[in-house]
Amino acid sequence: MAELDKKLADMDALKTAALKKLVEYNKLMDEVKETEAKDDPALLETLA
Amino acid sequence: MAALQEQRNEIKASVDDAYSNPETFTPKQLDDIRAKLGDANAKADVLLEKDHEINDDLDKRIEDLKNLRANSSTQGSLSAQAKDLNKQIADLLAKTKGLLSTLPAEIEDMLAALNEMKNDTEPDKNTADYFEKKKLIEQQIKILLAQKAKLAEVQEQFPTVEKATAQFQGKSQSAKDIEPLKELI
Repeated sequence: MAELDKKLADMDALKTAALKKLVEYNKLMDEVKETEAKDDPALLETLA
Repeated sequence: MAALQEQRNEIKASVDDAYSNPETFTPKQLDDIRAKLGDANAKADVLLEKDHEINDDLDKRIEDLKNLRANSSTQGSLSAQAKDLNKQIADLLAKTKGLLSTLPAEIEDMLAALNEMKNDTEPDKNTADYFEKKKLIEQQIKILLAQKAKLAEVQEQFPTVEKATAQFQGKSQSAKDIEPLKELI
């Protein structure tokens, strides 16, 4: 039972970490699109 | 994960019940609980592996985006430098063109004046105004003639330089050829 509880706790921590990373990823994507895609329209297609 | 959590709670309730009332459980029922726990652990392993994969994938994507952002910033900075260098080159060319259009006439005027002065260095100290300056005047004439010859060379080369510069400037709009522009300046 303790092994299963440990795995469930690890899964919870990993999901929390993934959510934070997803927020960071979206923020970075917005930055790149805003600052550089203006000068390089082809970049927008690459990122899409 | 919610389903697994629910499964875990059911197993936990069964385990607690078995500890509290062992006499009500048959060996088969205890084996079933053990089997359910084993099944839940196996499902947890699969889900854990997926969560690790998702995190690793996100790490890689974030790293890629950071690199892309860094490269884009560098490219933007180079573009700005290229524009600045283009402007400096254009200014230098304009100034050089201006000098080339006025300097030859100025040198000719100075040579004419010096030659006039040279005529007045003879025949002797009593009658020539510039008798004592003869060497200096001749030296200045020599220098001006050398400058005139150099200027003629520059005038001859200027159209080629102007054309080559225009070609470099055209290429440097993409900031790839910034080094040749720096060399020009």
